Parts: sequence; structure tokens; C-alpha cells
Amino acid sequence: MIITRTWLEEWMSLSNITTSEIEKKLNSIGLEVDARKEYKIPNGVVVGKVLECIKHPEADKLNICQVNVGTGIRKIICGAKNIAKDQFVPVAMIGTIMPDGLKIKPIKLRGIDSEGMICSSTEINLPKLNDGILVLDDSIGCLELGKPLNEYKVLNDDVIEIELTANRGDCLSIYGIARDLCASFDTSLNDFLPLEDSDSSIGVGRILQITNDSVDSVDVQYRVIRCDRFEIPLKISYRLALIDKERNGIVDDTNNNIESILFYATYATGVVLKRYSKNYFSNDETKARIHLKNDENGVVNIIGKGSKKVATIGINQDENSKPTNEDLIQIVEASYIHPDRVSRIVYEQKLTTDHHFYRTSRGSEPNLSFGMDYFHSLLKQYSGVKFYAGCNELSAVRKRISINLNLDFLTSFIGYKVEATKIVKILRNLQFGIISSSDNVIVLKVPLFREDILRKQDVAEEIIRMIGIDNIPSKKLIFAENEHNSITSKICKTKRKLRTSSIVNGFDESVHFVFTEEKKANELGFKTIVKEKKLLNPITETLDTLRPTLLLNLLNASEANFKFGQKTVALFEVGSVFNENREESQKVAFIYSGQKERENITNHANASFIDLETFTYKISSIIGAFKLVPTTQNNALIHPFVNADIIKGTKKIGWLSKLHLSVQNDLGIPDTFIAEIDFDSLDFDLGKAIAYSKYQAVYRDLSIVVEKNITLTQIENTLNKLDDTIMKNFTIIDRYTDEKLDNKMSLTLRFKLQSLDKTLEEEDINPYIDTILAHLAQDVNAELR
Amino acid sequence: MEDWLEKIENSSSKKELEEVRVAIFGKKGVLTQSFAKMKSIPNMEKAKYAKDLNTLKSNLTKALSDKSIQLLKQAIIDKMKEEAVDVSLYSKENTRGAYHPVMETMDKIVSYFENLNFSVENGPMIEDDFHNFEALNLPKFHPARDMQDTFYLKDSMLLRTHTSPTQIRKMKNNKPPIRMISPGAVFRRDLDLTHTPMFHQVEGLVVQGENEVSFANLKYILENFLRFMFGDIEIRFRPSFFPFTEPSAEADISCVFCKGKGCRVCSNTGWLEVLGCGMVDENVFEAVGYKKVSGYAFGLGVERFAMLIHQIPDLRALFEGDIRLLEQFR
Repeated sequence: MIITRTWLEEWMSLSNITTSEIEKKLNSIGLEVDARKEYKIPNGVVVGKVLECIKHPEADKLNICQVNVGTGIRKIICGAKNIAKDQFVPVAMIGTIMPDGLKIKPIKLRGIDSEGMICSSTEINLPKLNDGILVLDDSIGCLELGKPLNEYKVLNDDVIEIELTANRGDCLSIYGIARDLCASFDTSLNDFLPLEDSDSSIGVGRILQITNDSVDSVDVQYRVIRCDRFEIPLKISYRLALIDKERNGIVDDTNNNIESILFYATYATGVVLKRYSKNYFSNDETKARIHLKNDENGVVNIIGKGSKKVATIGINQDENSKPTNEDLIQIVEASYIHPDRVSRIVYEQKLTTDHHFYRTSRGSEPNLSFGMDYFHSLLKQYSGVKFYAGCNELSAVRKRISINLNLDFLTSFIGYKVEATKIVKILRNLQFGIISSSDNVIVLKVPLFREDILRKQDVAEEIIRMIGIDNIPSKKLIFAENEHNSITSKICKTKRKLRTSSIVNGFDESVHFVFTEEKKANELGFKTIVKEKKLLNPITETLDTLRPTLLLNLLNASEANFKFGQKTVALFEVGSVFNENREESQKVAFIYSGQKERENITNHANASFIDLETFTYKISSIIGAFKLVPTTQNNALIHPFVNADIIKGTKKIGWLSKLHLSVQNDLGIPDTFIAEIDFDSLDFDLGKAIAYSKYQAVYRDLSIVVEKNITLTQIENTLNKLDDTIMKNFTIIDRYTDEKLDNKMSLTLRFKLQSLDKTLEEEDINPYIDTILAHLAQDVNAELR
Repeated sequence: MEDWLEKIENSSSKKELEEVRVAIFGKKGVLTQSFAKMKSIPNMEKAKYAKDLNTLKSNLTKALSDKSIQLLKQAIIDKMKEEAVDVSLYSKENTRGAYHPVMETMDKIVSYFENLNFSVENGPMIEDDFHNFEALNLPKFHPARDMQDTFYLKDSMLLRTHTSPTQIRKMKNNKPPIRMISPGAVFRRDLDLTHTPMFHQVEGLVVQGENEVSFANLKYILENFLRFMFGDIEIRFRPSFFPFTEPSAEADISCVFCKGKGCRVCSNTGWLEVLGCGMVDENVFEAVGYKKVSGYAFGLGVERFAMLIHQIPDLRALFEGDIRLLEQFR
């Protein structure tokens, strides 16, 4: 909502209030100021009158004008197409410094002297109003030749843009904002005085008849005007230019002047005003008949000739029923419908709406005569448009809401005591009716234009607004202690530990949209949400489903980072993924692409690339010990020969893989490893200590020969059967193959042996090693090397 | 004999010292021979001779031992000298990763409220109309639904447009008193310089008995919270409108970039809008079946906080895993 200072002044006195004070006040009463702009015409631009205008003999497009600038007559060359004799125009006198920094000097144009410049609106710092020069008229104030143009307040206005909240339909007009400002400044609102209703001796009843079928949910008022000719005055076209953003595409004033005035009147007063062509309601030259009819949806339709629906109150209007410039007799309608009613019906019936719906659904001004009179006064002031006497109207009976305001409640709700007299004053300023006021309870009636106020809390908000929240002292809450360790609290802490370990191991945390491209995900072998549950209105085609894995986003990030010249990309993300059935689960994913270290003095500038050992070492530093077995996972990211499921204890918690070479090539990135792990499988709980030996451990190596296809897992399974009170752990420290071994390989196992009871002697160790060998011989055909 | 002490002193290696020791104490060593001469010394002089010889022996022994220790120490020093490096070659850049600025900001926010006995709650990203809108006093036809351009799913579910549904779930499953915050990702169908289709919110809710919680209490906690997050700043509250609170307000802080003087970031107003809040609307309490309670709620955008705290210029860069940005926070 854009307002201007001089427009507000139509309803309130601002003589002692600066624009900054208005801005501050608007913010404090909940009308948030988004932007502010001050228009100021430069010094030296004055009112002039074109006395004579003849073509330049040497230039088709130039005119030589004799201009009266009050202090004398100046010869000025002007190139504008719209320049004409007898026009009042802005003249930049010699010496004027224009907004673009240019100084006006006497010049010669094609051999003829020019002593000044006739200006367009943009040349003197105003918004664009038309092509060519700005033509002045009396609507901005009495035009005196030679008077500096920056003394005309209407043109040198302060403009404030307000971000209006959805509940304040009452402030969708200049008048509405003036009304709220007056209440908060504790000043009185200038009432608008209706004109005497006597443009025409012919009464409206002679030309318009209204009938209805017991319509009781809307207010309407109809008047009839006769338009011979109408020129839009500068004050109005200027203000319309200032609020241009608000009427984007709604009204085009170059074609239809009265429509612009109608828009202007609605914008000023908040009353919804529409026009109809008389032809829509009459078969001949005589009376127009409007019939108002309740329809089955609960709305009120306006019926014209041939029982044709012409409009629906508060919702829409047949575009063709709007008068054109050729329509001499026009019907003007002011209407009101309750915002909740109209928005509910429009939603339920999926009705098409016109631009007025924005206003009707938030609450338009219910005082219809006020809007109609304002419109009337505009036309009367500036033109010869005639109103037929009187109006036709229909009013719904509407009861003002009554609220009992308990002052103890108010004090405990706000947390601050406001004196009863002050409350009454605030409410009166806001045009609430005070029915009664005792020590503890105020009974009040809500003004009709405040449909948003229904309950005592709403009234509390009005009090808070008018006092200013910043003037309410803040206060500590004595709170009720409670057990607040939720599952989410625990998850947050686990997440924090996981993220910290990941960071310590050199991974950067990343956050991506949960959206991804369905087609691409499917091509890579990931199942996405089924048709029946998919996203209906994706923001772009490439973000059209919810991600089944965190890795696609991470791979994209890796690709982008290498394009920017990174040599290593190590990223992780903890976040939600969605399966085919759209069930949400939490994963943590890692990606490591490129060099595992920087070029440095130790590697003599030959930094090596990430390898399985380094990657798994990093992952284990983050999530603790795990075992790897070939993966059962199936997607196109997985390297067919370097992949694994990650097993913790006996449970599969995720998978890791070298990136498939073809994906790597497509992305144009170096060697890459990826992993994705179920977040819920990770456990950072407090552990329990078990007994440990105080005797020395011994290490024994055992070299065996087995078939090449024997996996570590098979050997582990065998060794797990053995007495674990002696063997603490074992590792494979060497694996060797050569031609002589043929399809066999040699493995060296190192055992750590330790007893809880004593230092192990040779006679304890040797038989144990023999047992190991015997088991391995039996299970995997191992031979001693 | 003085020259032997000198020889010990001048030995430059363990081997040389050993040679000197043998030359003195060996079977044919000078000292051994001097002791052998004892037999031929007249009795009268014998005692003095023996005494002098013993003194000499003890001096030489001490000199040998001292020199030996000295040489040993020297050998260690020499060995370490071989290991000498130019340590400046090993200066390190940061090899840690970085917390994501949005997540780190969220952690900081959460930690403030945890310290004030708030529980942390979460809810599903895929919500139904009731929890996301209806129960929050946003009936289907309400104009305020325009404020939140929603992602819909084919089975009439939706992606939550705010974290507020978590409050509804919490209230439906628990009795007051409630003190909770709900951090998490939310979704709105909007993508430009200042909007992304996904962003993060932290929502707070306090519910206690009737007439216990006041607007002044809400103001108190938020003022302290904002100072915890942004340090020494001015705070102002403006009345506003949210369907789920009445009265509603927005809090602004003095611009952290220009200190309130007016700059591009604050559109020359000197103020930055940072959160919305209010007293929980009666209709919301009704929707969850609460009677005779009072409470406040507030909500904020984590990205906005992160951008202000870390002075990040472009919102979208936060969601691209762009190391040029992330590495700055390592």
C-alpha cells in the first residue's frame, strides 16, 4: 500500500508532524514501512505559460515558444510533440541545476537562441506521467506565472510504501491509514463533507430501477452519471503515477479516464466502486433495471437484461459490461460484502475473481456513501460530469460485535497495567463504541470497518499497538520446570558429535535442497516416489522429486567445485531422504574426490589421489570400527569391483564404493569415493568398560597358503570360533601371490595374544597357534607356508 | 701427569677417550705402572707416594667419567642435528572441515533455548493440511495462505511451509506446561536472490496455566535471545499479523552492517527484521483441545540469522556445497 503525505492531508492535519515521525508511527502501530521516497523539484523550475508556439524554420521537430515566466517573456526552443499554445508548463530558468547535474545555460539551437528549458516530468525528478512535456493545471493549486514549482506541495510529495498484513483490510486506503494514524497521534480525523446532491434535476429513479429477492448479505448503492467529456486533472494523474505499482495492469488511464478516477476514489476511500454500461440493463433508451439475486452458492448476482448475470458482488464483473467512452449514461455501484464470506465462497466454488477481490476478501470500507460522495466530488471538482439526483441502495442489517474487556485479564495478558481511562481513550480514538465502563470491565462495540476484531485478545492487540510494544517493559517469566529431554534432543546431540568428527577428519558440512531430478535419479538406479504420491508443483523440472539419496546432490557439488579449480572435494551431509513410498529417513553421506593430500615437500609435488585405504580410514575415524563385505546395493554410482556394505556388529548400516568410472567421467571429476550410512544406526551412547589384562601381550605371525578366492570374512568366521580369552585380535599384514603359487595366495596373519590370568609362555602359545592352523586347514584348506 | 688430564679433555670421540683410558689404566698403562713401582719406593716415602698416586687416580677417573658423559651428550646432540629441518616448510593450512554456517547458527540458537529448559522437538517434512494450516488458524480460504506458496503432493499432503506443525503435534500429545523449540527445514515455492525453495526455521512455544504467560514475558526472552545471537544491538518490536498468534509482532534489530545508520542491506531504514512472534491464538489452543492456558510462540529463519552473523551475501550459495564459501568457516 503506497500513501503520500499530501493525500493523507485530505483527512488529517500534518502541519506539526514530519514525514519521519509518520514513518516511525506507522511502524509502531503495525503498518510496516518498506520504503520511503521524497520527490523534490529542483530550484529554478517555475510555472510558465506558452504564449506562442511556431515551427522552427530549420528543424521540423523543434518549436520556437514565447513563454511568460512571470518576470518576463522568454524564447525557448522545445522539441516535445505535445507542446501547444496556452499551455502552462514547467520552465527551467537559466542557471537551474537539473537533477542529472546539468546546468541550464543560454544556447543556440539551429541558429536560434533558447533561454531556458520546458521540462517533462522525469526531467524535474518526478515519475513519468506522459510522453513529452508536463502540462500543468489548477488541480495542483492556483497557477501563478513565475512561481517556483517546488512550492506546489502536491507535486513535491513524500511517498511511503507500507507492507500491509492480511488482516488489515481497513488500511487498504489512504483514508483508512489516515484514520489509524489519527487514532495513534490522538488527533481528530477531518470528516469528508458530502456535496449537495443537485447536479441534475432528474432523479435517479427516472432512469434506474433496482429489484431484489430478499437479498440480505450485501450492501450496495447505485448512482447514475452522464459523461460528455472528461479530462483527467494533473493532481490525479500524478498521484496515480506515484501508486503505479499498486494498479499494475488494473486500469489503463490512457484509454479510460473515468475508470482511472473510479480506481483513484476506491484507493482513496477503500470503498469498492464499479461502473456498468446502461445498455446491459435496458432494452431501449428508457429505464435500466438491475435485479439482485441470491444464488445457490450464497453470493449475490447482478442480473441484467435477458436475465443475464452481469456481475457477482465482491467477486467479479463481466468485462463487457464496463462502459466505454461512447457510453453517455453510466451506472456506478458501491458495494460491500463481509470478507470471510466472500473468501470462503470463492475458495469453495473456485470462482474467478477480478482485481477488487483482493480488497473485498480483506475487508473493504463499508461506508458506501463516503466512497460514492468522494467519487462524485472528484468529478464535480474537475469536470462537467453530471450525477442524477439521489441514489438507489440496499443495506444488509449488520450487528456490530460486542466485546467484554476484563481489565485484570488485560493486565495479565500484556504483563503490564494500562490505566482504564487510557484504554477508553485509545478505544474511542479507534472508533470503538464504549457501552459501559466499570472499574474492571469495559463493554465495547467494534466499528464495522474492523472485521478482524472478534475477541478480547484482538482488543488487547489494539491497546498494545497504540501504546507501542517498545513502551511495554519486558518481564521474566517464572516458568514451570519440566523434564525436557526429548528424543529429538538426543538426536541433535548425536548429530553434533557425528558432524564434529566428520569435520575433524577434513570433511566440509554441506546442506542441499531435499529436491532432486527424478529422471536423473532413476537413470542412476535410484527409486523415487511413486506416481500416486509425487510432488504436484515442483519449482523447476530439475527439482521435481524428493531425493532418494544424499549422494546425487553431493556429486553435483563435487562437479561444480572442480569446475572452480578445487583439487580436493571432501563433503558430508546429514539429512532426510525419501523412499518410493515417501517415507522419510535420516542419512549421512560422504564424498571424497581428488587428491588425498596437497602437493608438498614430502610428496615432491606428486600428491596421490584418494584410495580405499585412506577413505575407509577417514570413515572409521568418524563412525568407529566396521567390517566391509561386498555390497548388495545396486545403483549406477557403484564401482563393480571396489564396493562394500558397511557392517557394524552384525548389522548393515550403509555402503561405500569407489565411484563408477563412467559417472566419474561424465562429471569430469577425478577419483572419487562415496558412502551413505543410516543415521539411526549410529550410536554415540555411553559405553561400558570390561576387564583388561595386566599381563604383557605377545604377537605371533602365521603365514599360510590358501586359494585366492578365500575372503577375509571366511577366515574371520573360522577364527571367531576359537577361544577368545587368549586371542585379542588379528590382522592380515601381508598378502602375496606369484606364478609359483598359481591360483593360491600367501597370507600372513598377526595375532595379538594375551591372557587375563598370567603372562603367556611358549607352552601356552604354541598349542594355540597349532589349533588356529588346524581350524584354518579344515575350513579353508590352509597350509602352512 | 698433568698432560694426561689434558689428553682426556682433548679427546673428541668415544674411541679416542677409550685409547687414553687404556694408556692410563690398561695393564701397561702409566698409572698401572706407577702403582707397580710402589714396591721399590723406600718405606719412608711410600705413604706419600701412595697418597699422591691415589689422588691422581681419582682425578683421572673423574675426568674420564665426566668426559664420557659429555661425549655421550654431544653424540645425542649431533644425531639430532642430522634431523634438523626448516620448520617453516611445515606450516599447515587448516586440514579440518567446516560446520555449515546455517547448521552452526542453528546449533547456537538451539543451545540458547536448551539452557532455558526448552525441549527440542521435530516433526515430519511431509505434513497434512490440518497440522500445517487448519489447526494453526489458517482455514483454506484465508488470504494469509497467499503468504506461503506451498508445495503440494498428489495425495493431498504437502511439504511443511513452517515448523509450526511440530507445535500442534507436541500440544496434541502432551499436557502443559510446554517449553519447546522446533528446528528444521521448511519449504516454500519461491526461488530468487532472497528466497530458496527450502530453508530452515526455529520455532518456539511456551504454554502454561491461564494468566501465567504475558506478552511482556515474550518480549523479555526474545530481547535476551537476540543479544545472545547478535551482541550489542538495538531491538524494536512492531505489531504484525500471523494467523496463529494474537497479538502478533515482529522484532527488528539495528542493522549489523551499518550500526543503524542506513545502508543497502537494511534498505536505508537502519533496521533488519529478524523474527515473528505473538501470544498463541485461542483458536490454536482450541484446535488441540487446550483450555485455560496462556502461551507465546515465536519463529525465525535460520538462513537470515546466518547471513547476518556471517555476513554472507548470497542465500543460494548456502545450498550448493560450494567450498569457496565453506572453507572460510574452517
